[in-house]
Amino acid sequence: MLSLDALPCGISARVVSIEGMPSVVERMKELGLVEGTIVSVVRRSLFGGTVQLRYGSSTLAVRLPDTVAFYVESVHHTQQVALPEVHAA
Amino acid sequence: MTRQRLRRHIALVGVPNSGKTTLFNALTGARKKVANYPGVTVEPSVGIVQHNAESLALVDLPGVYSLSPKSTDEDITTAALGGTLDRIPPLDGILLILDATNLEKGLFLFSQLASLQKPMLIALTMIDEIKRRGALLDDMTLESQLGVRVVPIVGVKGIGIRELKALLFDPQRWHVPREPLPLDSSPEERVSWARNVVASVLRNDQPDERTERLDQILLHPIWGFVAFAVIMMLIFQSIFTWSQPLMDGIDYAFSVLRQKIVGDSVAPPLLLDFLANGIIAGVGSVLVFAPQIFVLMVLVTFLEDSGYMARAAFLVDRILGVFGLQGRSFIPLLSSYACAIPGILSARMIPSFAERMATMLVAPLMTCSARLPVYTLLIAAFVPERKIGGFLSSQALILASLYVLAAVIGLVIAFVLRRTLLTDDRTLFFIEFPPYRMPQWRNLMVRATMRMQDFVQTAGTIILAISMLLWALASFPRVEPQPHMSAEEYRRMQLEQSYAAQLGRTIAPLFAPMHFDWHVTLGIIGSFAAREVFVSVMGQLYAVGSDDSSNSSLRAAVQEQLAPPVAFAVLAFYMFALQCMSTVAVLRRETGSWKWTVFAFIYMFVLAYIAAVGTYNITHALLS
Repeated sequence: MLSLDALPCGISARVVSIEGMPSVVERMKELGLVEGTIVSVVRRSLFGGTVQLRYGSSTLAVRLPDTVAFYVESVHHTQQVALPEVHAA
Repeated sequence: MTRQRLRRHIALVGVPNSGKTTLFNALTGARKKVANYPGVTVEPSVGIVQHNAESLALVDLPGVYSLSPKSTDEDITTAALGGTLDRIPPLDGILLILDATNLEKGLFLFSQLASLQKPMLIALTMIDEIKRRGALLDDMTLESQLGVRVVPIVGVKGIGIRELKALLFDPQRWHVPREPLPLDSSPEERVSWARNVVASVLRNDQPDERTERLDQILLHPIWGFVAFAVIMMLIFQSIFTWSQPLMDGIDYAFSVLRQKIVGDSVAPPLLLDFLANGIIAGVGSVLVFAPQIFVLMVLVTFLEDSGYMARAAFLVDRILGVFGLQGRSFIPLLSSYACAIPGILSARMIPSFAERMATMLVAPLMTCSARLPVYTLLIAAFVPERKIGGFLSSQALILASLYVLAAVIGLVIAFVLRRTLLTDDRTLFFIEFPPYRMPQWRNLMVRATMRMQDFVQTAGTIILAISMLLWALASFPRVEPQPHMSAEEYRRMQLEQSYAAQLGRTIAPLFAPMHFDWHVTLGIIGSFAAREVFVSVMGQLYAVGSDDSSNSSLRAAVQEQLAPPVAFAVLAFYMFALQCMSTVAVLRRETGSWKWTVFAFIYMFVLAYIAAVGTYNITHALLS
């Protein structure tokens, strides 16, 4: 398990848990960042901290980990587990 | 009023950036009367949709992701849908916008709206965009899955609008959707349901290539900031150059009007004097800001609609974060350079209390356009014009440095506030990046016009009231004109013996440390209507009969009457003091507390006072 702010850009990972203020965690889920979602960091801002995330066809900028903390795991370890489909490719 | 109640009221709901405003304008028509309900000022606005002989009211609610609100503008939507918002009657139905490029989030919202058990209709937007990406969307399947009518709307041409309008007026074809999920479902369950629906109706959806390419430049660590700087410079440049001719025109029209009313008489009858110098002068000083606010709102709306504003917020988030603010603070601060009122209003999008409050408390420090006439007059009179390096003007340089200094000090104050009074909250910065889109010209015009009207209403009433009060203070007790007196001399004599002058003389000792005499003090009192009133008060006191800051006789009079250290102290005072009563009123409403409003006024006054005393002493020592 890895904190999302440590994930290198362009690598996909799966959200395992979300920690933070309950209302913010709820908002992240409402935006589609629920456990099990495949997410990647597209880019980081110049001074770090704020990142651009991609998941499905959504793009979200979020300041990590001040706003909310995401913990992710490598996609390859648990490939057998059936996931809710994000989009038909 | 009764006709209003007989009309059906339909809520227009959608997630942010779903093309809601475009649809609202297309349905209500840009020229239809758009009324703001009092108490909530900007939103929700209500438009009237006409169809044959019938009409209905469309309530444009701020975009939301869910029905559990996380910011002030989301509160409005949830309250309106729940029927608990003042003055919005119970809603007869919901028109939901689903953005085809952002379907999952829209469906999440649908799953909650369905639980309200109201008749619903869906407008499916951005169909052309999803097609351009090579994806296929099956709107028939979507319709059968959701159990309500889905009307595809194709982009700018507004294909589907006619069908949507017909449906709007046919309650028989509105359906109460069956709840896809029980009311107490978790967000996870809703997301999972939404994903399943998306998977069954959308094929081959790809990220937007054009957006990816643009982001590679506009969000680049170096080129992104270069582009940002260029865009900001263009905005400032256009605010001034585009609005200047209009502002000059309004200024001129109102001075001609006043001249026409009072004519050449030395002492015009009281009523005419009140009309010319109380009411018309007051209306003029409100309207003169309208062009700048309009231009600013067009540009800000352009940046918002194009998708760039979210990127700008991302770029500056970490920098503003150092000072305890965040990326979303950027729009309020930028807007405040034209006027603090739209700036403070746009702070509603900031979800965390402390960051929102800090943003609103420092927004009035940004150099609003009402300060400009004061700056122009004093700089022209007291800063010797030299060319630095052959092309840079020394006066322009001083002016520019006042603008930059205001931002720097505003950030420092925010930093201090976030470590003293507003520590109780953490940073909440997140913002969705919509795909880049070409904004629609009509949209920009309609929204800018609405914001401008809102400004004229909000600021107008207050400025007009204070302007009339100031007129009364300056016109009583009445003084009889002496023979052979010019109109200017008479007005000066009247003013010098008025209650206003007495008030100025009474307060003047407060400003003794920076050597403001009662003339300057009177100018400061006058500025409570709007800061630029300082210029016209000076014009009257020095009997030059002009309120134009670029007028050379006024400049000469100011040069003669004010010692340079005093003039620079006045500049410093105007940089910081919260003299604008309209801003005070908006702060009161948006913070919801007198405590914070009074705090803002006092801290800015103290800051202004210290800066003025300091500036006086430093320049006095340097110049003597």
